[in-house]
Amino acid sequence: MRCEHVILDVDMSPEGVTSRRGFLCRSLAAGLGATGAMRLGWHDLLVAKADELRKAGKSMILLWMDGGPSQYDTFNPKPGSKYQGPAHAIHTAIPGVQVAEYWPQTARALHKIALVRSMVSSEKEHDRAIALVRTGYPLSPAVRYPTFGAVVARDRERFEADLPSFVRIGRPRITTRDVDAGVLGVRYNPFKIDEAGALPPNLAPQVEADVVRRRLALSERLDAEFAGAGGAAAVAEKQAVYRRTARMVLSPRVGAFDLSDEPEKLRDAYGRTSFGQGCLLARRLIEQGVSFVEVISTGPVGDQGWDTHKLGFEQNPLLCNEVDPAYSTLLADLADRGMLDNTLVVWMGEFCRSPKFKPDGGREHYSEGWQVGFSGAGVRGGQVIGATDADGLKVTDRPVSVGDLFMTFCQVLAINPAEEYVTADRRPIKIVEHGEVIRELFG
Amino acid sequence: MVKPGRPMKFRLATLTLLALGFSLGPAAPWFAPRLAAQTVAASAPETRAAETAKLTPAALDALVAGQPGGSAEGAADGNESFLRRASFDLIGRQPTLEEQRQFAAETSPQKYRDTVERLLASEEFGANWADYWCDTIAYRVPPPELTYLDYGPLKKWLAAKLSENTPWNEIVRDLLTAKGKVDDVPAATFVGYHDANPTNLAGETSRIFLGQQIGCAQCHDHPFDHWKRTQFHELAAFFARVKAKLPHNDGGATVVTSVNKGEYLMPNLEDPRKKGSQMQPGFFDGQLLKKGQSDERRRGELADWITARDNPWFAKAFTNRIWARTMGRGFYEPVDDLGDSRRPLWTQAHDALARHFTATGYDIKDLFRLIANTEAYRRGVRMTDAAQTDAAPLRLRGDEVFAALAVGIELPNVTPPKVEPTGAIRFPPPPKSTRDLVNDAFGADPSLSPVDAPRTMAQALWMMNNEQLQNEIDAAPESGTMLSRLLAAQQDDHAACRELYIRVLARAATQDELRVADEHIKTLGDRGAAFEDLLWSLVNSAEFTSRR
Repeated sequence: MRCEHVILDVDMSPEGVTSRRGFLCRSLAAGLGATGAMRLGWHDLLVAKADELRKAGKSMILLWMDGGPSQYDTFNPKPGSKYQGPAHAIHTAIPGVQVAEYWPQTARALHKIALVRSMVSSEKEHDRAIALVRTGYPLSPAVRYPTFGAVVARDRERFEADLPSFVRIGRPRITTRDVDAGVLGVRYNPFKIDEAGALPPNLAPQVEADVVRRRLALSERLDAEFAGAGGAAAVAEKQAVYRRTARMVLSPRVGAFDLSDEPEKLRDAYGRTSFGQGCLLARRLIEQGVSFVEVISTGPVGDQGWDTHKLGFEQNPLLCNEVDPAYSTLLADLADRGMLDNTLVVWMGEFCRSPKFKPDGGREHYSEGWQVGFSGAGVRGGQVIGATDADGLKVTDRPVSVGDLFMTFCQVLAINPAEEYVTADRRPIKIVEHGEVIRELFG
Repeated sequence: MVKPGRPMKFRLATLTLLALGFSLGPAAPWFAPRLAAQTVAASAPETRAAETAKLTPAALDALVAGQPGGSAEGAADGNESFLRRASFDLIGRQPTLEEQRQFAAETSPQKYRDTVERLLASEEFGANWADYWCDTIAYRVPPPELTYLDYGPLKKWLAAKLSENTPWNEIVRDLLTAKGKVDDVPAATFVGYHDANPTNLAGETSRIFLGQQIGCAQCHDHPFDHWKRTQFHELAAFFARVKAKLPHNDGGATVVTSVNKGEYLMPNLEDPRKKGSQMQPGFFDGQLLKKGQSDERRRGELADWITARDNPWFAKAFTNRIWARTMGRGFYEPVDDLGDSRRPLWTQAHDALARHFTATGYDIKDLFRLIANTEAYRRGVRMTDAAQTDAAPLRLRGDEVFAALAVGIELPNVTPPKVEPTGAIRFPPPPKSTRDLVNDAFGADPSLSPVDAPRTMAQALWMMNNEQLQNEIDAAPESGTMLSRLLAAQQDDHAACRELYIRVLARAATQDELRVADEHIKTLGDRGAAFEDLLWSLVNSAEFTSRR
């Protein structure tokens, strides 16, 4: 790879670039860099094709299993192993592939899912693992790396959609471990919806739309005095932000947040749970042009979520019962609407659970052989990638790293993983440092 | 009183000092050996040197006037906005209606100085700058696992210290050396909330208190500045024997303690699995502390060195930040990067200010007094980069935005009840007050250049639609809001409009603005609705959240 600096809209000083936002280091594949398009970076080519890409509109839904789901109770049961526990294995749409009995609907939908069973990472603590698998970088005291949704939001900003590019549905079970846009800046933080069905805070005007418009117009007139007294730049910045905000507040697309016009039958199919209705909302938002939606599953009780150290036998069926109908119905619904081809759906958590379990079924953290489900956006469903041994102790085939995961996300969403952004302390950071696209997904 | 001839002399004296090599810029980096007499009481010549280093407002004006854009002549309108500016800068809020009336009624030429004194004497001064310094620390503290950090104790402690005008070197010494439980010894917050992590503390100590970004040197020699990797790890070694314990949920119960043994190891870059090299604590000037020293000795030596009078960056880092908030831009931007490779503006003024601050024994209120009493400050001179003459005025900090709403429209601060941990919900996040919510939207890391903390849609949504705020934009008499009372008391539209501007924007409405308001009232034919629109527009104006 070679790195080429394309300077866009940048303040230069003798020491170099002084404005971090405009400084973009674009890596070009060696072959491309050698052609006549030397000064034309990857991103420029992308902008040139913006309309086309917009039509393609690749989006992503992340179904986040907060706490680290047990592979034995989800998609990699080990019947006959002393580590399996009471969950039976059931047949699926893929001959010879079994999942745990708590996933009857997903089992039938497995032809839409490519299942990676061989994820390996080094992090077994929640905060470190969440940071790693949500940002692609190890937790760092020096740099708050951005979560992938923020990277997508930054990339999609140029499309100027009515709705925010990055929406998060549900609350993380423990907020001290939350990830956000970090060094990319607050403007790329997720738009947060605690519970599907309710509007995000401060989105709904407290007065009629006409009154909002009237006030916005008056406010712009009254900005004039300040603009003439040294505040011109502040007024211009404020008015640009207000126009974007008003476009969202007054947009008919805001109706996407209201689930009441969905058929009762479909709402039932998703499941009348926070996660189920969250998945339905995710589909509606993607339909209205949102680029990245994450839906958080924390289970029906407390803040243990998928972190089943205790009462695993009791908790796992409850957790799975919430996600199974939602996941499978989401895939079917997206497919019915012709949206699955343009939407990457990813099911994952921060790691998996230990083979050994306590008498109540509680399992500890384990970071070898965790799983990711991929669907849509060109992914060939109905396949299993990688494997663990008969007891689920070791990965025996095709280990996949977190870097591979992020390379794959980038490929699907047409984001250049080698692009660098520069932090406020002038540290250049690649969107993805290393890894290989999981080619089998698209074979 | 300052004699007319004095400023020029002062300026010459300062320039002479600079020419004699007192300049502390990149040309004379600070690894000059420390003065041996540092701990000895200042000798007579030193006292005289300290006196000559002190500035008057007029001398500072003379330094500023020589800079491009620094002349107070050009800034004509400033006096009108002086009270709002000084109130935000010193006590973190806009002046009340009463304060504005008193200021307007005062005719003495002393009134500007008197106002500065009144504001400096206010308890709000300490609280305001405690917010600033807490933010400066907190925005870079990595969120710890399962603990909700509480900056309440530190804010309260800092507010008291700043209000009683404790010198900056003493405050910093406390922050670096404190031991104990955060609730009881709030100064322990800095080390404790960083989990006593040596590398983290090395980077942050140097960044916050010296404006030196050595964080990059953790893994490699600094790409632009001259820091070497070993220097970073020698600094980290000062924190080798301090430990922190962060309990679940409650940050205030964090405890900082010293341990009796242990040395700091610099990781082996070639092979991270191998044992790293043991580092002696060392300053950037190459002096090393002997091995085996106690935590008290290590952190005490570190504090000595950071706050040493001949460590130029200590005073430069502080004055740079205060200048940035009071004059619209730091000599260096971002304000926490005074590295060799940076190109500062107005270096003479910065050097003189830093020398003044050192000569006064790091007297914080004196520094504010000096700046706020200059002609440049009074008239609203805004320092700008020559290349960026159209730069936006500073935006208010998150706490200032809340204060503006509290003073301007009487927005109450509501805190929901605290949720206690239970078996099922073991880690309930602490409740958010109205002030917290405003800070979530409008707060920004004070170390960022304004361009890196732009206005956001979350801020616009807050002002446009927040229910609690919109409840205050209600003209109905039974609502009891500020607006409803104002309209009842001021039956004349112009009078009502003028008062609204004074309350909300802390200035008089212009003729044009009164005319726009007239038109709006007439078109709508509903006085209450028209004034609701007007108030909404003022709160949603660019000016409301700007420092002018």
